[in-house]
Amino acid sequence: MNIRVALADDPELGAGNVLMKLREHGAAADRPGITFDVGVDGHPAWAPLSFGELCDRVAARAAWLHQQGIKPRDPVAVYATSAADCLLTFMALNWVGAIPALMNGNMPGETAVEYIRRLRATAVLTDAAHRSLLDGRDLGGATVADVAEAGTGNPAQAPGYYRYADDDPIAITHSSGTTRMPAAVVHSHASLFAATRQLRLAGPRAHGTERILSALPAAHTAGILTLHQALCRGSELLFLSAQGGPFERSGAVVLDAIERWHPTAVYGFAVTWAELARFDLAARDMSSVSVWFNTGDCAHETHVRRLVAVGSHVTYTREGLVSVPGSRFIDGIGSTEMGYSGFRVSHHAGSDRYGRCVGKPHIFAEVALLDLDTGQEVPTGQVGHVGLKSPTLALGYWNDSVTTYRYRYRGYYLTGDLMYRDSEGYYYHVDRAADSVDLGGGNWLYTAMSEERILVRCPDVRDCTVVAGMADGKVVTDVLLLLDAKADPDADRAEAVREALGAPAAATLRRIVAVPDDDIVVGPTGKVRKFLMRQRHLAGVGTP
Amino acid sequence: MFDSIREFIINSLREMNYDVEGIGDDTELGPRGADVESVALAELAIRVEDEYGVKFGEDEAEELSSLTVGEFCATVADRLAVAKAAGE
Repeated sequence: MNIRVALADDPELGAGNVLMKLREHGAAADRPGITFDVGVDGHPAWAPLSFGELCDRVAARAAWLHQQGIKPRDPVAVYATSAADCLLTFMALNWVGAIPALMNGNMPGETAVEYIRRLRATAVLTDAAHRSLLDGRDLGGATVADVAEAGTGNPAQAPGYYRYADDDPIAITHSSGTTRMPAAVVHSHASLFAATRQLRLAGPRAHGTERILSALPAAHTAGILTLHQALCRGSELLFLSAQGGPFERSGAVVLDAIERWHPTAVYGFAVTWAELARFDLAARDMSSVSVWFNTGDCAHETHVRRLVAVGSHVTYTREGLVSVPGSRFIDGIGSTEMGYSGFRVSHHAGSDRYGRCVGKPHIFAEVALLDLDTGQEVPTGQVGHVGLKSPTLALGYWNDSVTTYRYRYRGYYLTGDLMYRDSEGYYYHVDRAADSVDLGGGNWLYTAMSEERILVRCPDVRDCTVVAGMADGKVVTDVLLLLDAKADPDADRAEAVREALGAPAAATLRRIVAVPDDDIVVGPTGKVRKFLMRQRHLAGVGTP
Repeated sequence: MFDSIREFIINSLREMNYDVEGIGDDTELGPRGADVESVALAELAIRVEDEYGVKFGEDEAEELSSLTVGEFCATVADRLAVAKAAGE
């Protein structure tokens, strides 16, 4: 029997036991495992680990963890930069039944200390670079160990694989931490595998995902999902560490990796596409790329159009199966709490469904756009709060029932997003609810939609952030532009920006300013921290 | 109508070199059943469009691939009925 079917039909398979189940269903040792951009356990960087070698490296860590006294259901934090340290340790913690709490290596030390304390973690596995941030700090009793040492275990001494039930917690990942302390989100054995089961195992074999380059953060939900999907499909997977490194240089790292490794698919968050917009892609060898996959925030049209102009993809036409110039870009808006993309839209060179269109809900998702005052769904064309029912939804927030239940509403999980739906059933993301501003008289300023429109109208602007809020009793809006290297910083963009904002929001415009990259405060995954940006800019009311 | 749509779909799959032995209304289009690949699904959609004038959008691939043969036939029949009603 086809191994994908065997996996799809195995009710015990879930996010906690992918390795064990693959082995049980006869996955060959020479099947693709994973490739890292860093060396691990003496295995060189960029050299693929076969499935058999991957199992061996994970078993070594499981043996070491067992030897160290890590028990089933112990929360264990992993705070490291290398994707290998993160993902191999993740799978080993699953092996012994502990609950891995993956932390982004970009999380500042102070935040990390508090985050670990709130986890009530048993242990923290960390690398040398992060260890100094934790040394001597009150971690609530968590012991600290070197994550690299875990690889020294003897694979033959690994304990038996932990047996999971569907609702057992198998991972704690954190949100982007754009507004506050990153929220610790807990996923179950079933929830974090529900989409992979329905789309990748029970769905049709897709073209273009034979070789996946991931610029996603390994320590996040999207990183785990990508690992599991690649393993179950038998795709080759290259996992870059830390999304390619410091964001302002990550575009070059990702492009070099594409030219070196020739992926058919490149996975990333929105920051990766914004960084690639610094480069002339036509001057690079992007010929291997058939598909780009985005998750997290919705990607911007101007960034997507540059990507679909390069590479090629296979499609069926009346002339038969043909390879056509230009890649596809699949946009799947999602979040840590959603546990997978909730929506899906596909762009290519000939398509024109933009304007922050996020497509239609995945087959497993039920979406309602809600008016929170009445509890009713809003009519077509009207903006509402996104309520989601999905088997992928996280169990809740770890050690935080108050927050867990705050976002549940009439059986839905409130994602915190605002969208409208058109008459054809396509959904459009206008903003995060927390970032939108009521202008009175039924008018709203939607910052994300405004950014999209500014980028479309100002081709020499590489990225932008709209910061708006109340100051001295009135709404003020600042538009911060990140310009292309060749753009004229003194060009007058006021008319284009006002047009993009629309009259009611344009009336609140205080200034349009070209800023250096480091003026934009981003979280660990490259997402703009609008909450902090608002505080900083609104404090400066009245100053030019 | 439903029967002729089913016959057309099974014939199409046969012409596309799929093993149609035992395929019926309850057979899934996905790997548990006919195991139609994503590009083959696109081919099937074009064949249905040419035969019946019923169009499937690119964004419907995921939904179509989750259907059984019977459910797919019903979807085609429903759209035909809607198109006819709109034309009357």
